[in-house]
Amino acid sequence: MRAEVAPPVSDADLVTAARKGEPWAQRALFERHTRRVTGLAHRLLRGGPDVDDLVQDVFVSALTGLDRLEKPDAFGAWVSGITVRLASKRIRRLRLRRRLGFRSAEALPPDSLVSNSAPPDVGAELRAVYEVLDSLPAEAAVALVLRRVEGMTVPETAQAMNLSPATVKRRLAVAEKRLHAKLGKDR
Amino acid sequence: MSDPSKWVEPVLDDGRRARQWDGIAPRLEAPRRRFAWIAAPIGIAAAVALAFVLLDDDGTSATTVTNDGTMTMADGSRVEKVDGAEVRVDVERKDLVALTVVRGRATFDVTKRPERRFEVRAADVQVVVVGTRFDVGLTDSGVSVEVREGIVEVRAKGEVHRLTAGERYPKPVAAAPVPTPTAEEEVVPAETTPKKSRRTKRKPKRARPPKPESAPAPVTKTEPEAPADPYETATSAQLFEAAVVARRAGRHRQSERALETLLRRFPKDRRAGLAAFQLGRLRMDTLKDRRGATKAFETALARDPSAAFAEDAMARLVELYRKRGYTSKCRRMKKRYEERYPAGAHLTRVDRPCER
Repeated sequence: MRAEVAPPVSDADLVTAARKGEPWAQRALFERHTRRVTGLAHRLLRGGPDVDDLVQDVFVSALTGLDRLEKPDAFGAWVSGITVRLASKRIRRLRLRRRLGFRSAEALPPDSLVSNSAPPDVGAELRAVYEVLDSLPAEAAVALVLRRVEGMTVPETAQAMNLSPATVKRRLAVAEKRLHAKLGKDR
Repeated sequence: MSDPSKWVEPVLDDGRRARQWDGIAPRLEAPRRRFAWIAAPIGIAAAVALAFVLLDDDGTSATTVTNDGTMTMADGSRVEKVDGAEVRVDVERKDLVALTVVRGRATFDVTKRPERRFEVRAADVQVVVVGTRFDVGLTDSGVSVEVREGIVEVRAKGEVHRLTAGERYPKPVAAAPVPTPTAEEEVVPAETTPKKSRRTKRKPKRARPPKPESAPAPVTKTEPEAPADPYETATSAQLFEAAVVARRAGRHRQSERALETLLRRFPKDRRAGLAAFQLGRLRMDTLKDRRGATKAFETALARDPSAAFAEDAMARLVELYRKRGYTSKCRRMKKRYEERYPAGAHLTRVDRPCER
């Protein structure tokens, strides 16, 4: 006799229940997607002290704005887009503060951010990405992380950043040039 | 490079998830608000200043920064920098705002909110307030604090000084940490009050009435249980940040102390493993303290055995055990490393005989 296992509840079902204000569904969406969101926030904000604040803002925005979600079964991709957008805002805010003389607590240094288990060439490239980010405009920095760290394609990056692919390519051109210069210097 | 992101992963344990949700759930009931960037001209005296208003997406906080160096925090507190001063925002939350004067002088006009602790740090001096107006300056000659309104608590060199309007720190005679609770409880953050009453209970010999002319130094030396050291009231994030800043400034002992304090006060914090690893590296590479480094790396691995730094920590322990003559431990750690990281980055370093 085989045990029957109930099929897992889909994201679409959870979204439907959460839209009705069911707390268990809201919590379930959080539990299911917080690893993705925390990881993305960590990589965009470089493990800085704002990561958990950003994660909270993302889920509050998502769970209180579910009526904006057109495809309930695409909750994961949608919440990733929210993460990218809110992270970009934070980065711009932190940079504005810095330009006006109000610095913020620092993110993790690249050698603490990137695992020592990474293959040497992968690790070197990832560290180089994080080392050039401060020298890039905010949008270029975000695009570079999405492309080189998240491994997104140009169309995926464009969708996550709500920009056209052509604009993303222009941002990436600036970023990649700086990255190649950095990698070339380190070799 | 199929999934490079897997090499840049955060530690996300049940505790952290729970804390994240604790910050989300209450806000799900709050009314939604719109968010926007707004740049608008504001006339201030004879000058026109641009104000950049940075709203969070739920509209529940807004920080305004003007190009004349004035920042209005989300809680309504204002920070005015004087003559090219540099101020860093360390934490800005509903229950805690923490800033650091990195250089120069700034005026802080803090709104009175009992539920929020407002801290300003300059070097090793910490100012804690609930609602008041005061200046903090950091120059070559040291740190100065001047209170314009209200009451502030200054913690420095193991002492606590309570200043009222018109008073300054440093003072010619340091104030003894004698509380008059009824007058001052409303401005002292709740978590500091128990420390003060504990201190006075332990020292019945000290005169209760506030006598300014008391000898300052012995107070702190006889009160190991309730230190007023800023590190003893800092958050784990602040301690981690303090360690990074001190290390980069070449103040290695201070960095060590910040990390040790973090590990002692917050052993279960999500940063504890990394803090132990950083402490180990500091001791091994800079302070040449092999014994201390060994202990730190062992702590790091015990806290986070599968963290990103685990490989480096294990390799360093192999080296330390070898140099300190712990042959059995060296062999065990070497075997553990080789099993876990057969293509590890430190194989060459690890693959030396454990016998000296």
